[in-house]
Amino acid sequence: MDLAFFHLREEPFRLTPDPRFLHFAEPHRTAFTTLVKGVTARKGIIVLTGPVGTGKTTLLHFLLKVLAEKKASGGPVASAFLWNPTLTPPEFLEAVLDELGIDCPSASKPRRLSALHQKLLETQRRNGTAVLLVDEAHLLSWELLEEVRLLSNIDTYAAKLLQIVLAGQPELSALLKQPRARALQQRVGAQCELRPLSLAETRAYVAQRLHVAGSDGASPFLPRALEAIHQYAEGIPRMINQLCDGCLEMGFDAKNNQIGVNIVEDAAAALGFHGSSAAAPVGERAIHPGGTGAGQAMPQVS
Amino acid sequence: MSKFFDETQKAEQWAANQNIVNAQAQEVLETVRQTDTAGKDVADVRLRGCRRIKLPSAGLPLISSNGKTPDKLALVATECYRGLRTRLLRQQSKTGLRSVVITSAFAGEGKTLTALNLALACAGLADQRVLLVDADLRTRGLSKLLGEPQGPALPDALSGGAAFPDVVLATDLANLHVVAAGAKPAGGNEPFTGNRWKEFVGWCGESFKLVLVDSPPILPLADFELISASCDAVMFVVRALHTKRQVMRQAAAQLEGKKVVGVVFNGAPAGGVHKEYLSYYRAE
Repeated sequence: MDLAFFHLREEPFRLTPDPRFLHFAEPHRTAFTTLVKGVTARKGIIVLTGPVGTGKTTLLHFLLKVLAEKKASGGPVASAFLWNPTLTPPEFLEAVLDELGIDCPSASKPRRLSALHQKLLETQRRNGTAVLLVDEAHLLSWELLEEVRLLSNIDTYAAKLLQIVLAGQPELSALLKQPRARALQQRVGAQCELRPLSLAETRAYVAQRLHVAGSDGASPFLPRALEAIHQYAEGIPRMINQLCDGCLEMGFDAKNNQIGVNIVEDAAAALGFHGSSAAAPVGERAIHPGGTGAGQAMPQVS
Repeated sequence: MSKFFDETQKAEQWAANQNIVNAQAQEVLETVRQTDTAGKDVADVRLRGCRRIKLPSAGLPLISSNGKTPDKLALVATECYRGLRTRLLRQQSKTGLRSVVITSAFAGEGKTLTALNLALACAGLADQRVLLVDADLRTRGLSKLLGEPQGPALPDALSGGAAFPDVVLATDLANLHVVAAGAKPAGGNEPFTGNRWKEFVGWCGESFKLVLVDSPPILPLADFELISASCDAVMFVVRALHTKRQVMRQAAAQLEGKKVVGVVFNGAPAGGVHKEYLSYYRAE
């Protein structure tokens, strides 16, 4: 696709979690604020939930980037990012150590834990931040949830030495509400939730992405097309990206730089999007975006 | 003494200083805010070079932006508007609404004042770019409060005579932009019948976090229905000891229940606020 055809410098709707393209819609902004406050205030465990494709992983990447750039506390940042938590407890510990850059030749658990303590204390001494990010945390087994709880026990009376961010689909909050997870739930210091975007937010999101990609202000998407995109994508940023990308491709193939509803419909069909409530009037969906996350977006910092 | 214990002691001292912690969070968020907005914001580009008006400090109602000490009642009112702002923003966070129509059953219940003060309260927050639109093209109350700005205004944008960015006016409050209702009173509801109004509201939502629309009252005219159809939410202003129950019911029947985000009970008797509270606000 020739980007100049749409007056763009870069592809605006790439799917990789590129922090440069992170457009802070309202849910992301509140969630991110909660994450930053939670980590810098040493809250221990912070839970981030949201339906598939709402931008959890992107937020985690962005959090790491900001922490690394700003060196949140003026000190070093030790971070571990686990994106596939389907591990056994020893593997989990090994992965955490590996990510934190801790060299521990011994495979014995006490040795490893002691090495981890050392690292965390050293980070704390140098006024640094140690953070463990677990993506797809709804996949954690009960055993691993217990491990996470024990890791969060490494603390002083006043502050946690290791900040743990558990990010996952909404099942994660259900998981934590179960009686078995009570001990862990009580240690959750902050919680935030991402929800799908409203129509207005979708429009702002698309406009912002086009802008970052070098658009001169004239959007290739007609207002009606944006409404259709919001409906088909159900306000989910990842689906919005895929659909917009598909629309630009189709528009380019048809030598049409004004994307209308018909192109959106074709692109949605090509991607297999049906838009769960495409029949609902747009005005209604503007207030009640689809998906389960709506209505609980306020972060609760306890 | 355990090495671990020694270190934890130091860590506790560090953590006991909450100011440091808060400052750190603020510092990080400030960095994000800068990288997030500096030249990257689509609104910055769109609103570059828009005309500028001065908020008439003398004519402004209760929240003064000029640093003068407001009197007792104004302090209470300021708190009330901030409370209203908090509730609206909470609703916004939940549902992602951007455009709010502010209306009442009849004229003279305080729509315009509520809209302006709420806009001022919201624009006082960082990251909250607010647009205040005077959509009451007949009485143009808000435009009058703002000193009747000249040049292209809302009717021109709706008729296609002016581009959307050309009708937006910057104010001396960085986060507050306004759209005036034009120089002459416009009759009829034609301006809002076409697709342009809907497109305008959609466009505004791309550039502003919050769009407050001061609309004509609900009852005598059809304008309100057309205006609110394109907006996300409705705020209903009721004047205490003034709006009759029957009238309110009649007006409420015309509202789409789902869209109502709140009812503002305007001008509640001052006796409702205890003296102690006044001194409390004063001390702030």
